[in-house]
Amino acid sequence: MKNVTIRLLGVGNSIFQPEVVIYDGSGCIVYSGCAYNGMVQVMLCCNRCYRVIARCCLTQTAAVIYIGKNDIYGINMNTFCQNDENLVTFTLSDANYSNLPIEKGEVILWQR
Amino acid sequence: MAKIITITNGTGSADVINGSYTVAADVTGYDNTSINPSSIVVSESTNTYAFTVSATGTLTLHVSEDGTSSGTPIVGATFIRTDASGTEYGNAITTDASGNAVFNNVPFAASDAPIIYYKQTASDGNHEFDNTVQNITMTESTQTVEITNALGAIRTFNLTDANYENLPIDSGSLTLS
Repeated sequence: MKNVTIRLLGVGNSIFQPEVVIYDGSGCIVYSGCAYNGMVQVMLCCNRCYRVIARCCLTQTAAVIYIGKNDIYGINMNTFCQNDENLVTFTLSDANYSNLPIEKGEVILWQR
Repeated sequence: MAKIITITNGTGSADVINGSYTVAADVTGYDNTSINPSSIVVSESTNTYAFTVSATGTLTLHVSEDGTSSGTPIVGATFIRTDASGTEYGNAITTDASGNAVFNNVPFAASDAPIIYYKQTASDGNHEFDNTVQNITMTESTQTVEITNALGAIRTFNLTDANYENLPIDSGSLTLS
């Protein structure tokens, strides 16, 4: 692993710093936080791909970065994310016992 | 194409594109057709969506003095569903004249059935009871559990005069509440 800097181009030192979430290849969150001066620093594994989602005001960008020899990676925040994805949380509880969480299961979404 | 969200302890997260979706559930032990709501619209402004699902099993708790189906029934014993740590959920149930209290809409499955946790919160005032969290998995749609609430032990109470050591009080009563 090495310390990697991800620069969110077009943000700079704006007061509106993006929220950044980084996922590994398994879809697990490896980083979640706010950028500082348009940058985040995070320990990532070499030779791996990571998915970066940066959300700021009405702008959201998703990009995949491959951690190679470089230590700095740039993501352009000036373009809107065409996929327009949101990180969404779903809760599932028992209908007859208020707020009793379902211990395990799946919710399946079919886009209409 | 389907988007599958894995639920663990009531919560799951995923990247979901804004749009309209039909919702299905796959939860062992529950009626998956009862998923509610069955459709959602994912939008930019909302990042949390809540669903419920219902089960159809019936768990009967039969409380008696000796813990058998023919034992003296205990009337008025109360129970409530919990999670593993004892946090309570739903409404309490109370044993009837036959000593039966019923949890409706509980999950069951031939294999990998969810664990049902519950605890007793009171007896009838004359019997001892275990208030620790109990658990069961149901492999059939109806099941009865026998529970013992033993008669309270015989205790001896002495009442004497405070100013004349050991002088017994001839008559009177003590009320414990």
